[in-house]
Amino acid sequence: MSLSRLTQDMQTLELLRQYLQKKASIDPARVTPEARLEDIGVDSLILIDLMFELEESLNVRVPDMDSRPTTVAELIDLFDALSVPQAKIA
Amino acid sequence: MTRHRVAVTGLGLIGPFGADPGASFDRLMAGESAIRPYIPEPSILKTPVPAVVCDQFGAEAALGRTTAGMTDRYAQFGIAAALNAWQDAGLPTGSPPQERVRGSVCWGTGLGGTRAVELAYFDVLQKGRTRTSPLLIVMGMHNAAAAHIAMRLGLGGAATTTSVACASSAIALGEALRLIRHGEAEIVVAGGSEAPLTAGMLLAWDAMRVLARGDGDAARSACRPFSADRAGLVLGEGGAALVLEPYERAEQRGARIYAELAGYGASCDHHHLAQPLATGQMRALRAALDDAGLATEELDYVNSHGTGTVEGDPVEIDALRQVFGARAEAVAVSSTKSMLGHMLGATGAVEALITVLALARQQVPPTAHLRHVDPACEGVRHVAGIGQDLALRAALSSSFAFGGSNAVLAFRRHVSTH
Repeated sequence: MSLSRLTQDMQTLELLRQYLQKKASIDPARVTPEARLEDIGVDSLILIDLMFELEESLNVRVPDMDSRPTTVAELIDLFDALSVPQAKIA
Repeated sequence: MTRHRVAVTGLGLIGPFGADPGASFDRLMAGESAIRPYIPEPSILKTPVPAVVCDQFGAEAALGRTTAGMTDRYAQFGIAAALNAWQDAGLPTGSPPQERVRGSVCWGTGLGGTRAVELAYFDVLQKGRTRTSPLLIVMGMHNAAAAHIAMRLGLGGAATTTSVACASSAIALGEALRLIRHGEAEIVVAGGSEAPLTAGMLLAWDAMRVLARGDGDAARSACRPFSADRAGLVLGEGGAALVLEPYERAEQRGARIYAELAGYGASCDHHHLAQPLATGQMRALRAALDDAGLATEELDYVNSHGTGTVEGDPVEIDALRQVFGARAEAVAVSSTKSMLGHMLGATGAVEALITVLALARQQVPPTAHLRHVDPACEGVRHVAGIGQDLALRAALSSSFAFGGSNAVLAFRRHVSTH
C-alpha cells in the first residue's frame, strides 16, 4: 500500500470515528478497520446517513450497489476508491 | 363480552413548565401563563409573536444522542412524554425492553415531522443545497413518534397515529379506550405531541388572521378565551402521554390510579372547514356522556377547547348550554390554553392530562386573564383568574378541530376501594 493511500485510509477512518461519535455516541476506539458495522451499533439507517455524510464531506457520490459494506474496512475502501487524497476533515 | 373499565395509571408531560405534571399543574392553578414573545429560526418573521415554547427540553439528555439525531422535535416530545408516563406508572424499563405483544401505542399529531421537512426545504430552496438527509423520510413521517415509543417500550400490539388537526390526540385517547375496553390490549400508551413553531407554520397561521398579538409583557395575556376582549389564539409546542390499563389489572399490580377514562364521543360538523357548529359539538358531548354512562347532573368540570377566537368560543359555550340545560350554570369551565397556548395535535392529550389531575386533586385550573366574560359566552360557571378547589365527580375534555371533527373525553374520579 502506498503512503498516500495509507494517509487517505487514516483520514477516512478519522471521519468515520468523528461522525459515529457525534451522531450515535459510538466509542471511537471501537471503530477499527476489522470491526463489523452491526457489532459496533451501525444499523441500516445509521449506515445510510453515514454514507451521506461521507459523500458530503469528501465530495463524492457512491454509485448504486448490489451489496452494502459490512465492515469498517469495506466502507473505507468504498470511499477511498472514489475520493482524491487530502480531502478535508469536517 | 367483558367490558373493561379503563384506568389512567401514568402521566408524562413535556411542556413549557418542564416535565413534572404535578408542578406544571400547580403553575396553572396559580394562573401563570407560559406565553412569551417568540421569533422562530430561520427568522423570516419581522416581529415576535406570542407563543409557548418548551425551553427546558433537551432531546439528547432525554433520549440519547442516536434517537435525538434521527427524530423531529415533535417525535422527541412524544417519546420523552411516553417514557415519563411509563416510569410514572411504575412499569419496568430496560434495554432491550420486555416485549408486550398486547401493548399498544395510540398517538396523535396534526403536523408530524413538519419542522424537519420545512428546514430541509429551506436548505434546498434558500441555501441552494441539492441533497437532503436520507433520514428526512423517517424524521418527517407522522408515525415516527409512535414507532419510537413502541421500540423503546417493547410494545408489540397495534401502533397507530391519528392526524385530525386539533382533535388528533383526543381521538388517539378515545381509540385507546376502545382497545382496552374491548380486551384488544392490556396496556396502551396514548397521547400526542406537536412542534409547530416553525417560520412557515407561523406565517400560515398568521395569514389566517387568528393569531393573537402582543410583545413584551403583553404577550403573557395574549390568549384570553371567553373574554369580551379576546383577540385570537396562541400556538404552543409540547406533548403528553397517558398510560391506560384495565382497572382490574391496574389494581392487581397495585398501580396508582389517577382517574378513570370512562367515555369517548366523536362527531363531525359536516359543515365547514373552519366554522365550528354547536350541533356537531353537542353530538360529541352527548356521545361521550352516554359512552361513560354519565348523567349531566354528575358532571362538574369541562376543560374546554377554548382557543380564544371570536368564532370558536361562543359556539362551544352554546353547545355546553344546550347539552347541560339548567345545570350548565353549575358546571365549572376553563380553558388552560390561556396559559399553555394551543398545541394543535397535542392539545387533546395535554388537556386530558390536566383534566385527570383536576379530578385527582379536586382542583380546577382557571382561564387566565378572563376579567369580563363575553355575553355570548355566559351561562356556565367560568373559573377565571386563579384555580379553585372544587368537589369533582366527573369531567370532560373537549377538542374541536379544523375540518369540523369533534372529540370529547369523559373522565371519572377514582375512588379507592381499599
